[in-house]
Amino acid sequence: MSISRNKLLSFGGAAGAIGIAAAVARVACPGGCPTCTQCATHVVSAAGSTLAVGAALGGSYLAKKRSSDRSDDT
Amino acid sequence: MIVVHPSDASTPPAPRAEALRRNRFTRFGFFFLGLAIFYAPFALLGRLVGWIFPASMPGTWVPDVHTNCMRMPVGWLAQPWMWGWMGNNPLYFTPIILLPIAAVAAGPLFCGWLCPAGSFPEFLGRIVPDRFKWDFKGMVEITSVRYGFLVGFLIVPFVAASVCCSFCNFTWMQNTVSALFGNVAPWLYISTTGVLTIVIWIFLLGMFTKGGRGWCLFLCPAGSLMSLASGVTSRFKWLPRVRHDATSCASCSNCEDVCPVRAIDVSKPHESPGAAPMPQVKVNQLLCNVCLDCVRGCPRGCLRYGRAQ
Ligand code: SF4
Ligand code: SF4
Ligand code: SF4
Repeated sequence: MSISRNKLLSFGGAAGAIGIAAAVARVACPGGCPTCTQCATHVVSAAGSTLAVGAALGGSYLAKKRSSDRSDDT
Repeated sequence: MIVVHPSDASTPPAPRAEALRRNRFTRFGFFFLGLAIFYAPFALLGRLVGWIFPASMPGTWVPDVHTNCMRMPVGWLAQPWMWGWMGNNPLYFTPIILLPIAAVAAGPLFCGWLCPAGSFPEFLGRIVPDRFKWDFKGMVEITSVRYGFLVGFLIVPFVAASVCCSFCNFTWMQNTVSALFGNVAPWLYISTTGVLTIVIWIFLLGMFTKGGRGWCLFLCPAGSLMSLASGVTSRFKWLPRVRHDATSCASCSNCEDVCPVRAIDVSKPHESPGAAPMPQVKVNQLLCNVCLDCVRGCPRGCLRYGRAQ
């Protein structure tokens, strides 16, 4: 059984996106604790994480769409 | 036993609407049981553990959902430097040991039946017509994104960060219950991530997602861990899981339609050349939360919860 490229991309994309978003939040957070919800820079953390989820889902959607378009062509 | 061959089924059979409704109604009852067990002002589990271990965290705090946190202990799995915290509270072992073991034994029943934070958006979503909802099935690789998120959740501490508390649906479920019991202060504490959590959990991935379980699918590490435990052990035929028997299946796709976590794929036998003569109904055990809606709703009784035959 082979794991499709889409699945790998979606898996890696989701893992990487959350990691990058959290790293951005870490850099932006003056207190060094991006888990709390109390400081204004948390907007960066929140926006980053939300974008990450959106990017992971969007990336998976595009990968799936491209491969189904390709299989329609053949 | 009357066996109806797929080719005999000229018109799709009607779903067993009454049985499905009864199953959902029973699950709605369990929603309240879950509230009583895990959420303040009742928090019966926290109170019980606090009474047994008075020096532990549940014994020294006023118990609420945080006493049985479902997110931090999962994150700590990858953080050996946090393991010492586990000793403060026996309930920290619930999401990482007790529930995964239960999921191996019987599937992630907690998610399908007892977790109010998971079923709340699902039940709310019943008031929104399906045409206004996203259906992630077919749009994205649900399983891959789900477990990709779990891995991301586990690795973020290595960049000295965490998404445990900032995006916590359990906190907002607790805040909502507290507000209903007169304590509105937590709800009025509005933070950026709090607003985003509500918008994503209740609306985007809840009421406006087909099945209402988008948060469970993509953003809950505890649910992913339980489903992983259940999914990888599902090939042991003697373990109870949702199983399909194709003999009398009519390929009506009712099961596919009612599944809240979009775990079922029905392919009709004539769809692809060389396909098996029987309809193929695949239950993705890495997603299924054993809610049993498909089992109760199947008009031919081809789905059941139990051992493989
Ligand atoms: S996936 Fe998470 S939020 Fe959803 S039901 Fe399971 S434990 Fe609850
Ligand atoms: S298993 Fe699914 S597709 Fe087959 S008869 Fe039952 S509801 Fe229809
Ligand atoms: S496959 Fe059936 S039991 Fe599993 S989550 Fe879907 S509807 Fe519920």
